[in-house]
Amino acid sequence: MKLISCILLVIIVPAFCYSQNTSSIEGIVMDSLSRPISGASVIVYTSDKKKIVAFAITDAAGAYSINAALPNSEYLLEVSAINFEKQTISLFIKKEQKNYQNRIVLQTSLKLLKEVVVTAKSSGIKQKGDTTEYTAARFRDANTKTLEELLKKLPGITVNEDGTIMIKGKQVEKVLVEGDDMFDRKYDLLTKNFTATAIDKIQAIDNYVENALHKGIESSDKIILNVTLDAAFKNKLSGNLDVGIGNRGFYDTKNTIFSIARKAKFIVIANHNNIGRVENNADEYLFDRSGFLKDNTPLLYQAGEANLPQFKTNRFSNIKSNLNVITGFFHLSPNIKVKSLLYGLYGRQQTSTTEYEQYNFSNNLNWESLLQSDYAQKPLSVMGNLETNIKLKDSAAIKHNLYYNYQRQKYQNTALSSLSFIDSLKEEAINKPKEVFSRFLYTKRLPSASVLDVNYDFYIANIGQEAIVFSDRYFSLFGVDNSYRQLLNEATKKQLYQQASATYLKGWHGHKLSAKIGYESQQFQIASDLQLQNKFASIQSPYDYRLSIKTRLNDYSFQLSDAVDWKRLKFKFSMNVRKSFFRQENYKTDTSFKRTSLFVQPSISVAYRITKRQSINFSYNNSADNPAYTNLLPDFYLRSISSFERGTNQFQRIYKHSFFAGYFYSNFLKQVELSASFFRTTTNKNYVSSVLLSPSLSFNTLLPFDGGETNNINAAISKLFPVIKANIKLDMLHSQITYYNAVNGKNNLLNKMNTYSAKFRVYSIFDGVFNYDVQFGYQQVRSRAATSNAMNSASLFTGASIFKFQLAKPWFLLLKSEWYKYQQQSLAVFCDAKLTFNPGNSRFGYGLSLQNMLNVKSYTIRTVTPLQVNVVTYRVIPFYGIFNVSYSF
Amino acid sequence: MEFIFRNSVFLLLIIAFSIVTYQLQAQSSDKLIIGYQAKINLTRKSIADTSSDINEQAFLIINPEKSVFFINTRSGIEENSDNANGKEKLTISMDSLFKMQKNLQKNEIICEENGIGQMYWYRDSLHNQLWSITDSTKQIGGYTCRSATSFFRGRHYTCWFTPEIPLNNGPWKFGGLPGLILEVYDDERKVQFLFQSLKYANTIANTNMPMNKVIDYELYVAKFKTGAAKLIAFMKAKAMENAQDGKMKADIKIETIELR
Repeated sequence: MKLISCILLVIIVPAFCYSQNTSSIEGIVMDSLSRPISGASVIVYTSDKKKIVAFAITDAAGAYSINAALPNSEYLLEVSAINFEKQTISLFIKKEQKNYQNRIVLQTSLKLLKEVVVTAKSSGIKQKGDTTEYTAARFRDANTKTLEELLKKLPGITVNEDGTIMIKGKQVEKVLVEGDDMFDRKYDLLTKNFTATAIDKIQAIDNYVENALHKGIESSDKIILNVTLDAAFKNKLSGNLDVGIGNRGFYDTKNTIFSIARKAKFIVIANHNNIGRVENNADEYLFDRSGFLKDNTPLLYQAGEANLPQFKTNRFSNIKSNLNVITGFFHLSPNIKVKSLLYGLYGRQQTSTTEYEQYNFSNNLNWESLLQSDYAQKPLSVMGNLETNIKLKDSAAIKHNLYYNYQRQKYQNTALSSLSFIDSLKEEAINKPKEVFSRFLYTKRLPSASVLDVNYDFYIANIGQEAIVFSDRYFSLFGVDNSYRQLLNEATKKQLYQQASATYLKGWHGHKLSAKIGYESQQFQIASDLQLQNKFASIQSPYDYRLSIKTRLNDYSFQLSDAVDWKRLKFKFSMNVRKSFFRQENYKTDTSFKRTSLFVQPSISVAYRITKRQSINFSYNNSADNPAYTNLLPDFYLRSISSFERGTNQFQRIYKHSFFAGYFYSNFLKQVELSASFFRTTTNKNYVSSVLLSPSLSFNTLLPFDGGETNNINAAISKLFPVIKANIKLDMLHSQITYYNAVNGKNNLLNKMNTYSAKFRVYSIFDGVFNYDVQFGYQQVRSRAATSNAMNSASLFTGASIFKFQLAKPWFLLLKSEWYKYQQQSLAVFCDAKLTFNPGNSRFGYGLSLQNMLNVKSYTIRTVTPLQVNVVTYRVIPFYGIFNVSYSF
Repeated sequence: MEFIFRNSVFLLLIIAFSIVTYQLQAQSSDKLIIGYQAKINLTRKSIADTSSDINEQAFLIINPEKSVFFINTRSGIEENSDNANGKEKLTISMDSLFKMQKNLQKNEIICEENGIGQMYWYRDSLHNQLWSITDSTKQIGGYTCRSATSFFRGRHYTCWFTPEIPLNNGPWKFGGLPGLILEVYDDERKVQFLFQSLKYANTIANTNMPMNKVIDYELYVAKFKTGAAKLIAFMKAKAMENAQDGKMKADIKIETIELR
């Protein structure tokens, strides 16, 4: 047997060897004068030239030799050398022949190689310490017009609908231009208008300490963005002008002019339209005025009645909006910086609504009404901020802010109801509040890691004149109340307010001591604040404790928190005790309101770091407000769900318990956050409990456009979808599942409400040719009141999609559609189409856009349960067209 | 090199190479200059981590018999303090510089490298990677490139070469393919050379290397190892000195492009 095997082996092995057919190809490469060419490339290709099967390089004598196992076939032998013409010859490998000899003569070539400069294509993201730097060109395509559109494409950055920017779950505090803060808190003015093409780099800076003199003492968790400009846009006047005129008197213009130099920067924005787009609302103050002594809710808000003018930022009929902003930042000398910002928004909004109201009180008490109303308002808002920064020496600085705010709100409202016992309603009001605020801050860096801040605020406000004509007749549950009121009130309320404080901050060996003492004028209070903290900026300690004692004449608070890092565990405990006396006067009704409160708020949290990128977190908190009711969908769909706070004029105890469990994962390209909360609020009257589950997810892919692999994920995706070459970004803007249950102990009413909602956004860039931005959201509310057995549910589906195509080179097509579906009752879809022509190098661009406007119809379903749902339906007004010309320079 | 001072201090020291001025002498003949972007980060933890990249211009100057490759570098030490997690991280990166003469006639490379604190010149064999050509292609700078892979001194490299430029050369010690190597990187992306430019210029590289000091590669490796061991011992002693509570644990590793 063994013998037979051996014989077989002897017979078979040579047969295999023979069939492998090792061929040897040898030759010599010479020039036309028979001089050998060394270093020439000799490549054996398959006949279709797709594969290289063997290669060699000629030696000093011009000789090459290839020994390779080649199946019998036809091959191409290509010989090339620098400065010589390439030569290709056919080669037939045959079974019988083993040696192939060639003598190749190359002709001299005068052709030079094409000169190339490749612009670097990296992932476009660099991380260095606290700074993440994005290279704008890597993320920008021809369709990216504004800074905001660019930011939306950056991994790790989310832009909310109101223009606020989120990074790693934190809200961006400022957006600087070349290191200078030009827009204070209204940075959405910058991001929504600034030209994307002018931007070179975007830096996200974490742990940002604003005051340079506080560096190394103050520890901050603020995050900001800094935008640097392309050299071509510096030191010259640049901008983008866009003027659009349409039929039916529609117009839409957007103009931004800027000049950014090292010493002087200015940006001018002028946006005017009557197509319903409002870029910015005057609902927020220009700069953070939060003070130390008082919880600085702006006094204009405290007055309650004087709401700042607000636009509805949607396609309600007949909206005019005019926005003008001028901002400048000047480095007068190396030590003096001056900033001035002037903001003006004025407009008109007129809405006609038909409101369908359905009241479900119990089985036998239901009625419906149809209310038609006309609403017109003319808001005007002027704000200004003049900021001066003076550096006295290396160790001292002065900062002064002078802030002015003037608001005017005029509105008219008439309503006509189909129900006989609800009379028509007429309302007219004019509000003109104004205020001036001055803040002076002196900072001095003292020796041995300490700093002294001296702060003086002066504030004067005039709530404004108000004239209200108010006429109504309304009902109560127990019969029709024919009350009729006419109120004509002219009130002027002046407020004067001063505060002064001094803060001493010291850091040593990992500890921080902060002591503040202050004076507050309005109620003539003297306050002090002592904080002891061991989190000194640069030294890590396993213990992190903070002690804060605040005293005011009417308010005492004591806070203690301690965090311990032990291996992978982080344990945190905090206790907050506060006793306060609160008194509020209402100048309109001449009533006053007093309250004494005691808060005892313990909280405990445990976090465990599973790996470098994953962690889990549990916490118990006794003070949290229920976030289940922050409504993230546009407010006209699901208006405020009634608050469960009871009137505070009576004695009551409120216990708010909240439990939280979360899982976090984050790396450079994706962030996943899964969390669940449970809330229970108990008073001596009733209890409310609710469960909130809120996962969040963000996922980015960065596929290379040049075909190379930049990372493994991309390589995997490229293999799965060989045709698609795109950068895709998925952001979960919002998601929550809540279950809410309230019991009123007295009436034994059982109210239940469940809400499910989620909102996503997907962006992608398809190689600059086609990109899309799709947003979709879903919300469902189900509610049950125990007395009526009626189940009311409301579900809402919203979505928006923007598709951008590059047609033949200079043509772009933008398709935009938005849709809203409310249960079975209404579905609104409206579309925009925009065709733009942007000839190659020309600075001029032309566009034709078709848009539609909406008429609004709203339904209201009210029940005695805490659910109130407003449903808005739209009547689509036919398309109108706007032709626009843009010029960038 | 990497030190871990208990949990609080990370000291990462990337290979230290001194700075050598480089002369380019003008001459009449047209020379091909190929520019590369050299991205070297030997402490890279993941592909997306770009925190301590050395990102420099590298040039390959092609002469008929002797070509020259060098990394043009800025000098300096970069200190990078990371307080994000309350941990202090100090990165000292003395920029690396390589200079090498590739002698195509003699089939050798003369390299100039700073070992540890001392300059060495050593002789290495020219283009001694064993490449296997794969079927994939891609475009770089308008040239159609083919890919080839090789395991070379401790790392798996992928390179993209173009037969359209018949030069068997490439960045650093790479070469020997029937076309110029335009891009080369290792699996972990710790060493990357990316094509940036191709230009003709009237310059010739003048490398003044003291040929009498040139030693063999094997001897250089031995000398480097001795120097490294001395440095590790010194750094360990230094770390103990700095330790406040005496609980210092120093973990020092040396990583170089060619894993030895």
